[in-house]
Amino acid sequence: MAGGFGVGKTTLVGSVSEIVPLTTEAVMTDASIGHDDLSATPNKTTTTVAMDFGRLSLDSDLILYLFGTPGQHRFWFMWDDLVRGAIGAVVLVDTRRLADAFAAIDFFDDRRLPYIVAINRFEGVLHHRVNDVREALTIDQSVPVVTCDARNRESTKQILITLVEHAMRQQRATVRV
Amino acid sequence: MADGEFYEPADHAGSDIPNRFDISGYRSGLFGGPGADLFGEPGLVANDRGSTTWQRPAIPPQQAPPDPVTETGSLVRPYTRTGGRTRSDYDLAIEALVSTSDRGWDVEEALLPEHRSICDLCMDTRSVAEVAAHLRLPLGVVRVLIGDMAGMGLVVIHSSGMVVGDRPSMDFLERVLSGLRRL
Repeated sequence: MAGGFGVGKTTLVGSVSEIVPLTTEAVMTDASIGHDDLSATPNKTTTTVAMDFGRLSLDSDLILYLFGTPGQHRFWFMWDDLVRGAIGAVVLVDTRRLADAFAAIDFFDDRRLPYIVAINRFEGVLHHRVNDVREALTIDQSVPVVTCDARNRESTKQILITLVEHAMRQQRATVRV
Repeated sequence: MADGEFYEPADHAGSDIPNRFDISGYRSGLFGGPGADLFGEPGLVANDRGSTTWQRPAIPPQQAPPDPVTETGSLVRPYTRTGGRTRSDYDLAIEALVSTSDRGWDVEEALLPEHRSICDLCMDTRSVAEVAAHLRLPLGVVRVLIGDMAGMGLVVIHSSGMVVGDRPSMDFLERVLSGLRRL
């Protein structure tokens, strides 16, 4: 689950998670790129990056984990760890702060990770039409742009289904090339 | 942050910025961050009569037991338990599932407090991320610990076996989709 600060990533995770969202942290040196790197170099300073996540059992032997990405752009190198092996991403947007979503979209486009855009409807009101959002974000027609209520379990479930269906379409398209 | 036993005060010069720690000069570490769900006492092992005796863990001699937790530094110290190692032989994904092996259930086998904690925690299968979250330890530390424990036969790491390269296989996606629709 990606998107700007305060857009509702943890709420989205929590709406469908079978556990109360937990927080995991990674400790990074400022100079490191993509790894925890505390190999005893003197005078390195460290920063902690936190990610909220939830869990959803889909079967007796199948567990889905939902991670909220760190909001700060400078922690993107952590996202590589999440992206590896991930099914896809939901870019949650607030139409009042669309620009917050640009960085995430660029990142997923670059990594070729399937993603959908979900417009979080605050208080049930859609401030902009879906097509306006699609244009403003300049994303491909093939990328689903949908609305959601991050607090609602059924809505979130639909978001995840849309994402997995999109990931399957994208993978089939890739194989054919 | 009056933790003179574990830091030289000079190490904290300029560290008024939240979450920035100078790791030079760290001493013995905590085995869990503040608020961690810790299981068992360090070095204490239950004997047959049910009372506890001190048994020195099979690791190099340490300093005195750690102070009560302080907010700062607690995330950095755990790397002392991995000897500063930040990599394990296993490239563990954060969602990799870990469960305690038969050997890990045996209290005699896992003597290090952090190993004991992880064995207890993983009696229900957990992901690497969950272990890190419950123990309030950094992901990197937990990866190394779990990697060590897998090598020692204390835990089993479950792979989905349904990944092709970096991406899930179509079969896997079908299973996930079915599971979601059934919710």
